[in-house]
Amino acid sequence: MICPYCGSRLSKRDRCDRCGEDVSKFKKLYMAANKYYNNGLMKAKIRDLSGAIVDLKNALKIDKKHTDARNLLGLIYLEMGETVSALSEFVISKHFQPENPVADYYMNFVQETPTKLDSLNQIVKRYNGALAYAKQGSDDLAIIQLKKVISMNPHYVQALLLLALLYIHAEDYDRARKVISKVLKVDVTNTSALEYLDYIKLTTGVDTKTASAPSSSGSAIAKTSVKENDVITPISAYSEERPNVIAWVNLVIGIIVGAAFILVALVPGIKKNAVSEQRTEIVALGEKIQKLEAEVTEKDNEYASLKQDYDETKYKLDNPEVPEEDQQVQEEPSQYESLMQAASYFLMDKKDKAADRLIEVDTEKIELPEAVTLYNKLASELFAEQADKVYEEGHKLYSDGKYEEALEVFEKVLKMNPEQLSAIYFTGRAYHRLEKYDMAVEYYNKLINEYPDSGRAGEAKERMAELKADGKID
Amino acid sequence: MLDFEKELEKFKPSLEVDQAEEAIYHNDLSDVTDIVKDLVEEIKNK
Repeated sequence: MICPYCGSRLSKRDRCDRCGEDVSKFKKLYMAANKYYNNGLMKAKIRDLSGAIVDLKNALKIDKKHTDARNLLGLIYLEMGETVSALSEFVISKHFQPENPVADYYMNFVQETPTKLDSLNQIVKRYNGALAYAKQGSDDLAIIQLKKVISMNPHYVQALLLLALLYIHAEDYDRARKVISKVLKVDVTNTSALEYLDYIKLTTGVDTKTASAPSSSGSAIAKTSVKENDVITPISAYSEERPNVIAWVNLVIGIIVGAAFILVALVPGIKKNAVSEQRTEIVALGEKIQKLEAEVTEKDNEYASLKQDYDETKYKLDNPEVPEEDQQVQEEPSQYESLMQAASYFLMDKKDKAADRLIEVDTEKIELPEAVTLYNKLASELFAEQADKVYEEGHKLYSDGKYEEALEVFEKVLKMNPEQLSAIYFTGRAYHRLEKYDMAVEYYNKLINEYPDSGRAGEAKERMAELKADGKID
Repeated sequence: MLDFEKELEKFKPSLEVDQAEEAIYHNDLSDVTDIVKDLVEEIKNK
């Protein structure tokens, strides 16, 4: 479980160990989300994909950062042929948890070659084309397209359902039934598929009864059992006993006519679409390149400005002919040396070392205005970010019981950011553990008096009360 | 009785790859945790 305030891992306590916020209510929410996820996982395992989607969406409504739920939802979408919806889930999952091998694996699976993603996209385009044909009333064209789609991705549930609906509309119930059985192999509780199957049962059930009536000389019980039987029995009996050569010939002719139509009418359109897509892609890539170039220029300028500051200050230090400033430098050489080392480390992108050097600089002893500017610039770039990083090290030392070492680290943090409340609190706690109660009280009081509305102030009050109860302070 | 037109209306076009970015940006990502967090903040600030 992750703290909703600071993002750190939560322990069994009702307060976050890192930021000190009360997380008891959020833990209950996370447990509810987990329950939905577990239900979704169970349903996915028995191929109740529709049910699993509902549960996983509920889990994500409660906790959008539930990586397992999001990855499983993506996997289900992938299984059902909804490639883009799947990719969207994996991208969002990666956004919330960048170290995400499961999402990486599936994204690589979809994008392992440039042509794979393109061919998956072609399947979706074909399905959308077929849907448009169906809505225009061109059922035959839609069926041809859908058959192609299904041959490319036999698990594409929406395409299978649409094909089944078109067969039902054409009263070709036998084929419709076969297509629905394919849907139910992918998603056993697909509502539309079950609805279509019921309709077919209702419609063909009458025919079966009348057809079987003359041949069935058996009892009424036998008749009833046939009527109530599953749909599987009539399917095999119906299809295998009536081979129809004319239907096959018609089908072949239909396919040839369809293929000719596609070559004449659709291929130029598809090519045109592909060209316009590539153009849009080129424009988008051009924009991205421009953005990146602007960012590079900005970084270059920043680097040049810092380099200039560095060179100027270094020149003044090295040049003995600048009398007044040189005198000041000679008086306090260590301040400038530390500043220069900090700038040098910063330019090498070694921010931790740069921050270490920078906290050694006493700003009151620097008088060169360029050096002050350089100090301020480096401080604004480094201290906020580094203070949090160094605090983590200190907190780890504290958790390991190394209180003396933790105190040194927290001191460094407070030099970088005197308002790092957790560092103030744990400095007090470390002194408390070392039984240096006066020092502990000093830091607890600092929180209580200067930051009375913070969560840490509340905790400091609790610690003070403990000290009083134990008779350690008056 | 199955109403073909009505059933057909239920089918929506699937998302294509070039619509993925839009789909991700327009995905409503607010969750119950966010709402509770806001409520707690509101109570604290009172």
